[in-house]
Formats: sequence, structure tokens, C-alpha cells
Amino acid sequence: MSNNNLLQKLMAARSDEERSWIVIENLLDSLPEDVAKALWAVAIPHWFDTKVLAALCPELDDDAEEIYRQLQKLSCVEIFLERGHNIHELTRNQLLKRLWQDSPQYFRDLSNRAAVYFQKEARPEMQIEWIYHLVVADPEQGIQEIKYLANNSQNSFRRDELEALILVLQEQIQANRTTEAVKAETIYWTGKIKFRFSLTEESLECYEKALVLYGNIKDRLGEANTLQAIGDVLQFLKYQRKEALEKYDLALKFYREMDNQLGMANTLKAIGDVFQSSDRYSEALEKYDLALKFYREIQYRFDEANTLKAIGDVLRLYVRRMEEEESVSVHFVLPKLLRSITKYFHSRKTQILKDTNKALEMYNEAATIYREIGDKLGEAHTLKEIGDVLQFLQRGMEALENYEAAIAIYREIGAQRVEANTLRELFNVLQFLKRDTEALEKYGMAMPIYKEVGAQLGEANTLKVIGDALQVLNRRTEALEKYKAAMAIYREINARWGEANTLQAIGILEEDPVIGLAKSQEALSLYIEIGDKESQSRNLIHFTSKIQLKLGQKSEALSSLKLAAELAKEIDYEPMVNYANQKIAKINRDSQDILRWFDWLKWKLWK
Amino acid sequence: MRLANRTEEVELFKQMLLGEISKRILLIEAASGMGKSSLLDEFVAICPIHAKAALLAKIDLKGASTGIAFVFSRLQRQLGESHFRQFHEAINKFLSSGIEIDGNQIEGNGNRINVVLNVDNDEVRDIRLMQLLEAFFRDLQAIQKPIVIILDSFNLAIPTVANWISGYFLAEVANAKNIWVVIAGQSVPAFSIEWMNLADRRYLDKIDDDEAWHSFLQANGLIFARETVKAFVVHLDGQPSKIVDILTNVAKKIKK
Repeated sequence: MSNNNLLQKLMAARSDEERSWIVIENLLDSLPEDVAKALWAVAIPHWFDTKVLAALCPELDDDAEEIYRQLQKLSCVEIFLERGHNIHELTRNQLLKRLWQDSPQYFRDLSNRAAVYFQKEARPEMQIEWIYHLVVADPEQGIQEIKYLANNSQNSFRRDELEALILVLQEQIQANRTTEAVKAETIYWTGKIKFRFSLTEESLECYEKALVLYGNIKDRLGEANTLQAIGDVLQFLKYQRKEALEKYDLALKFYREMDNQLGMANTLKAIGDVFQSSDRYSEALEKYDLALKFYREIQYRFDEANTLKAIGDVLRLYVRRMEEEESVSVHFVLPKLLRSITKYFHSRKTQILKDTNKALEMYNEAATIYREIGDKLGEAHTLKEIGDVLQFLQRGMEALENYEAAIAIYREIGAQRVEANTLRELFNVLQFLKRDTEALEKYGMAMPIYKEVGAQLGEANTLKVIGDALQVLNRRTEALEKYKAAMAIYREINARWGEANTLQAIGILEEDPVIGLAKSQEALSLYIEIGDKESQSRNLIHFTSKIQLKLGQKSEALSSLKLAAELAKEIDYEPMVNYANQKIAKINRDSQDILRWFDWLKWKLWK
Repeated sequence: MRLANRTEEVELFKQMLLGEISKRILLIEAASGMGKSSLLDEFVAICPIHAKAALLAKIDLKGASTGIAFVFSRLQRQLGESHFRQFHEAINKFLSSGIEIDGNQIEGNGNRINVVLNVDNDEVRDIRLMQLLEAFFRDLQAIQKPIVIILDSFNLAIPTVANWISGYFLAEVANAKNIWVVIAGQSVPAFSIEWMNLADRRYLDKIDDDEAWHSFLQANGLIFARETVKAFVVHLDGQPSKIVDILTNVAKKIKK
């Protein structure tokens, strides 16, 4: 073709694609027949070398090396690091499109040869390339291999390989070179990957597409798995819990029809999770119990442990709620009902104790399983939970043991942030056991860890708590030092609440009450800025009014307390309202006493 | 064969290497066939001239089917294994702390990294990955030479690798003053607050300057009349790979 003809063809071309094809056609026309044939063939895989070329075109086997050399000279062929060469994406896509359009059977034959070649090696990239060709050459086997690799990748935690497979399979799907079943499976796993990266909308979009495809091919298991996956996304988007439950219920129905125990167990556990996060504890427990039964039957130890831990968590949440209800109710007790209410609270206390012990039992069982299957983080998290429960039960020494064991594991894994958090719990227990110096030492250990992992808020909080402990131990100067260091960090990271709390603590420690009052009021301004009414009220009662009284500013102190009572009333915090009023009454009573004393003195002097 | 008229991008890269501007991360975005790979080859060629004693690594992410381990192992291989003492210590620390290892899996550096990273719990994986990354960058900073890392085909990287490069990896680059990074692809990482001040992003468009094409072709031994070049440039809409492909082929035919 002369330059003029070529230019005329290009001029007549109506699309970019047509122009691209003219360029490629021009190239193909210029090549010797065997090289052109090879170029068509090597477009099939993502990369090629002499061996791949010979496998794709056995008739060219003898000349494969020479043809490979000639192919490398073409401007559309580029180096594929450590694997040989590949055809440039633009040209490759055009060749594949034409080949599929004009000779689909030859395309399948080439794909089959490629599949046979790549299957031979176990390296992940070879296995991925094998399945990529298989879904065109033999879609039914292809789908089995996708399932196998996907499940294997999940179970052996080699998720990167699954991502790589899904990425290449999308090429075949977009070009419509495979079946509905392959599409459904690929899109389902694409949704899973998207969800892993919190791309919820894209993930839901994939699942909806997969659901339709599974429905078309009547793949009930596929439908059930997809419904469950949709439920997982909706559950993650907390405001759609109701919709999540609907999806889970339908998935459960399908799993039941198929008697699929793992599916049933997973869905029941997921439903339990939704109930747990909606504070519907008894329903959550019911679902978890059922899930547990299935996991035990099919011996899924990891999921069994997770469910046991979830049961422990729900029981603790339940106990916490009972306690909160109790602490609120006690303020409305009328004297004449006192006896019956005391009896009621006694039975509640018994229930709290019973549930807490049950939670402990669940956690212990879970910890044992985690240990058996070698899930160290699961074990450490559960040991920490056990420590928390034991702390609640005031079994300080046992709590200590569990925290120490959890810390040892966190340290081994390198989970520094949780290690530091557990050290803080340890500090609380040691304080409870009146081992203050030891507590300080443990807390001091958390600090460098926070520093190392760059958790500035954790570091500042730790400094603040050390300051509090030093204050209790009457080590004022050291306490002030820690508070100031904490303040500097809070200010740097703009943590206003932490800054306010520390200012308040400094206010009390200041020897000069004028400076103390200024600090406390500065803290108050910060609470106002944040809009935290509870802290404002607390500041006015425990700090500002106290210092004002110390300075003899009685009417100012009374105003502070009145304001504190009003704020507490606004947030319905009855105990705080009562406390502020009691303090007002006390100041007034004290004033009355002083007045009476004055009158008595005046009378005495007059006499 | 390199490309005509990518002067602006080449100049920018030179300025970066010479420290004339504070940018150390260059993102090159372009559609297929716009000449990304050729531009990267040009970057590779000018590196030794403009950044003396620089260490250079160029990785094509389309081959990273084994994920982050692939990136770590290729960078080590290209920059020199001996530089990575702390990184190896970090791997060995994990391997000696009771991680179960399948006999065959442990062979090869990439596999050793994968054994450490392929764990059942994302939280643990993230913790380990962070420790490996920090050790890796400590080693890179200890080299005390300019290091240029070029990553191609970012759009073909698997999501785990793409996310990691856009996040933690570039955040570490921002803290390591001896490291320059170029990332190219049909898509590139979105700017992040941690490194955006150090980054420049360029979009490669068509090249429709026929004069530039004419001189470029001449320099590469492809002699055409200026009008012919102009006609091809116009009718192929300035798309670099098509222009190079067709004129190379036409030149071959004329020779025959």
C-alpha cells in the first residue's frame, strides 16, 4: 500500500478504532506470513517468550526462536520484565477484538493451547494466566477453578492472587468472551474486593449485578452467598440495618433449602451482629447460640471462637445496660416503695453476676480455641476482655494475670497500640489494688509506645493520667510537669476536650488560687466552645466554684453552682442537678451559721 | 525510540533531580498509546546525568500478581540486596517468632515477605506491613545517595498494591529526602494530604506538532518529507504510538 493510499484510508476512517486497525493491518501486511501468524497468536496471552510461542503455534515450533527475535523488533512489542515480552495494550486489544469477531473458534483453540501451557506451572502468575484462558476455552472448568482459587486464596490469606485473577478476568467479561456463570462469579468476587476497600456503593453495585446473573442461571448457592454479602455491606452502613436483616433472612431461607450448614451459620452470626449493634441483646444471643451449634457441627473452630467471643460481648453489654438503668432509677426511689425496690435490685444484681460469669465462661472457651488454632491476636483480644470482666468482678489479681498475658502476645505480634491500651487497663487494676507506684511504672511503659507509633492522643492521655496519679500521691510538681506536657500535645493536635480537662486539673493544683481560677475558667470556655454541657456543669461544681469559695467570692460561687444545676437539667442529668443544689444549700447554711455567730458575738460584746 | 516533544515533562523531571524545585513525586497520567513508557525510558536515560551516583529502580506494576511482596523484592533486587539489612532483620524477626512456614513457600525473598504478610487477620497484616515498610525506608535513607523509583502501569496494579502505594508508601517517600518517585499509568494515585506538597501531576496529551515529529523521525533515521509527516500526524490525531508504528513500518517498506 502506497503512502497516498494509506493516507486516504486514514482520512476515510470514521473512528479512532478504525484508524487504529488501519495501522495494525498495515503492519500485518508487511510481515512475513509466519511472523504475522505468530503476532495474532501471541496477542492471546499477557506475555510470551519462545516457549509460549511454540505452545500456541506448534506448527512454528522449529522456527520459534527466530520468529520470537523478529517479533521483538516490532514497535508494538515491549519487554515484560522477567517473563519475556508482550504486545502493547492498544494493539493487543485490537487484535483480540478482531480475532474474536472473525474467528471465535480459532480464538478458543488458541486459548485452550495457552491454558494447557500455563497450567503446567504452580507459580501464582501462571495459575492466574491459566484460568484467564480457561474461562474462554472451557468456561465450565474455568468457573470451578475460579471458585477453587478464590476459596483457597481466602483460606490461605493470599488475597493478592485473588485480586490479580479478578483483574484479568474482567478483560474477558468486558469483551463478552465468556459465559453468564463466569460473569456472575467474577462480579461477585469483584464486589467482595471492593467491600474490602470500603467502596460500599461500588460493592453493592457489583452484588446486585451478580444476583441478577445468578438468578438467570438458577444458581441458588450463588444467590444466597450474594444476598449474604449484600447484607454485610448494608450492616456496615449502620443506617441500613433493617434492609440488612431482610437480605440475611432471604439468604438464610435459601441456605436452609439447600441444607448448607456453613451458610446458615455465617448468616445467623451476621444477624446476631446486627441485633447486637441495635441493642437487641436477647435476640442477638438467640442467633449466636444457633450459629454456634452449626459451627461446632461442621468443626469451624475459628468461627466457633468468634461466636463465643461475640456471646461474651453481648452479655457484657447487657450487664452494662442493666447497671446504667439501675444507677438512673435509684434517684427516683420513693421511700414507701423502698422495700420492694430493694428486692427488685437484689434480683437484678444476681442476674448481673450470673451474666458476667457466663460472659467469662464464653471468653475462656474462645481463648482456648484461639490458642489451639494459633490465632494470637484473637487470643490476646479475648484475654484482655477476660481481664476487663475480672476487673469488673473486683478479682484484681486474676485480671492482672490476664492483662499481662495479653500484653505479652501484643508485644510478640508487634501490635503496639493495643499493647499500650492494655497497659492502661493494667494501671487501673493496680490502682484498685492500691499498688500506685507499680501502676505509675506500668503507665510509664505505655508512653514510649504511643510515641513510637505516633499516637499523639494516646501519649497525651497517658501523660494526663500519670499526672492524676501523681496528684493522688501528693507529688504536685511532677504532676504539674506531666499535665503541661500533655497540654502541649493536646494543643498541637487540636484535641480541645483533652486540653480542657488538663487545664482544669492544673487549675486545682495551682498554689495561687487566682491563677487556678483563670485556668479553670479557660477550661470552661473550651467546654462551651465544644458544646459539652456535662463537662461545663462538672467544671462549675468541682473546680470553678471551689476555687471561687477559696478566694472568698461567695456570690460568684453560688452563680456558678446555679448555672451548673441549669446545665445539668438541660441534659437531664438528675444526680448532678441534685449535687449542685446540695452545694448551694450548704453554702447558704454555712452563711446562716456565720450570721448567727456574728449576731451572738455582737450581743455578747453589747452585753 | 523515544518520543517527540515531551520536553516539558523531561525538563520538570530534570529540575526535580537537580533539586531546583521541592517536588519529589511525579505522577504521569495518560491514555494507552500516548507514550508513557517511552517517556519513562527517557527518564531512566537522563537519571545518571542529572542525579550523580543515583540508584535507580524501575518496576512495571502489571506483573505484580503477588502483591506488595513483589514490589519490595523487585526494589531490593534492583537497588542492591545488601542495602536492606534492617528490612531483612524485620522479616527474620517475624519468621523466627513462630509463624508457621510451609516447606516450599519459604524459598525466595518475595515468598519470605509473603509468609510474613499472608495472615488471617487484616489488623495483624497491617501491623506487620507497617513495620516492614518502616524498616525498608530506614534502609533506603541510610544509603545516603539519591534514589529514583519509577513505577509504571499503576492502573494495572491490583487494588491492594495501588492502595498501599497511594497511602503508606508515598507517605514514607515524603519523609525520605533522598528518594524521588515517578508513577505512571492510565490512572495515578489521588493526591493525599501527606505528600501532595511534594507532588506534581502531568497529563500526557496527543503530540500534534508536526515539526517536532519531523525532527524526531529524522533523528531516528526515518527520513520523510515534512508534508508526509504532517499528513500522518493530522490523520492519526497526534497519537504517538500509532504515528511511530505506521511511520516505522512505512520506512521499512521503503527500504525494501
